[in-house]
Amino acid sequence: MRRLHAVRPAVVDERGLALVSFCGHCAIPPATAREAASSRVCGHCGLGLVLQAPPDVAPLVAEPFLVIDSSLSVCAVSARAEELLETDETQAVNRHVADFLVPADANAPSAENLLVLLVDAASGLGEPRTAIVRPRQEFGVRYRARIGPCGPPHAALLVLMD
Amino acid sequence: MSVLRTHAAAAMLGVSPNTLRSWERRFGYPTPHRTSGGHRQFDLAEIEALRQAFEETHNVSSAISIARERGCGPSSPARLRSALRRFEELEADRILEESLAVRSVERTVEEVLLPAIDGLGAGPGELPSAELGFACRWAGGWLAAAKRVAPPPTRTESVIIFDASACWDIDALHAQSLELCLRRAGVRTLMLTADLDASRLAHVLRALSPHLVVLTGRRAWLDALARIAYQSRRTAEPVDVLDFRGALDDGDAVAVPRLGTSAIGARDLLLARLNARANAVGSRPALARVL
Repeated sequence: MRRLHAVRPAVVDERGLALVSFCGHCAIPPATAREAASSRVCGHCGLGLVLQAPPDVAPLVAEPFLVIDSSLSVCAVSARAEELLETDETQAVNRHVADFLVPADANAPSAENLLVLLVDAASGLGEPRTAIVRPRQEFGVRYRARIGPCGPPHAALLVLMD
Repeated sequence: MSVLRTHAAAAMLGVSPNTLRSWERRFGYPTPHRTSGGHRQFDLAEIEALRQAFEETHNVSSAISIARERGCGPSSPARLRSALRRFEELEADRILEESLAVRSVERTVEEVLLPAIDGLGAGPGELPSAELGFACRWAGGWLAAAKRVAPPPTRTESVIIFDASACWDIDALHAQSLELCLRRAGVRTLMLTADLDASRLAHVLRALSPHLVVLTGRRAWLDALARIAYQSRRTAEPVDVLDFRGALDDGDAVAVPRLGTSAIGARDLLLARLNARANAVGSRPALARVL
């Protein structure tokens, strides 16, 4: 009984990939399955909740990221993204994602519009995709972002890559 | 128990005590009270609200904002007691207002107000604390305000409540609650102190000609209560004398029916007696006509 957590089936996404757990603030994964099972609060920074995402979307520790819900409101901002976007998570939460990031690829077809991708991902639909974005108030700075589902509860994960 | 120490609150949320303290510094929530020794005491309802919010959000600050917006859950005696312990009059008012959105006035009094103050009660032989004194005065004012907005009497019968409790007694609030319940049921009701002068007592009984007399409070001398019972039964119309919340000891109350300890229950019993009496009086002329 004590090792029940170890034999619990892994949570998988629609494609059958095992989901990766990470902190919604510092991106560090929970140290043990027991820690992940005992609380949603990150045991490392104490400021994020443990989220899950497919391995090809989940952020690395050094990558800034945002969590956005289906109404396009920011739900979480990682510590790295706070620095990059010069904001504070408590100020950013519940604001529209377009207050921070806007599409920067003029050639992107409409189906790949940033907001459409985010809504699809937040609904748990579609494959992980990439988009080009820039901070709202900055020009000449572009980031490649990978976008995919995360949760619980359902939300979109936008990871800024380079 | 309505409060938790830091370790218990942290364990409930699955975080370390240091994390909980860091939230207090960073977000100002949850907000602990301090014991006289300086130890943190967290409100159980706040911790529970936060724990629920963790299931619905993606980060701690969102969860905290949700828990803050929702407040500490439904109005409860524990929340009210906590507000009274902090002498937070406005918060206490708000908790009862919230309760009135989901409960009747009678149930708000019985399920929130009185249990909250019961929990502050001084033990036998102890002096009332400042918190209890404040709570009793606040609750008395609230009940008086509720009585002022009660509808006018719709029944012809009247009830007198003789209260023998001190102002910081929980019994005094129960007596006021019974008066409020009866007034809201349309019964003409008056509450008087139990240690009235004998001549004034007779005058009151003649002037009001009550149909029922209720004795309550546990601080009256037996002869004072006996005098009320005697005078009540001497009036032209026979008056029933009843005991609410043990004004008379078991040995003394052989001939005095008990109304129990709940104001709502006592109101129902009193209304049943008044109805039975009205039916009996109503049938008497008809019987006379037949004869």
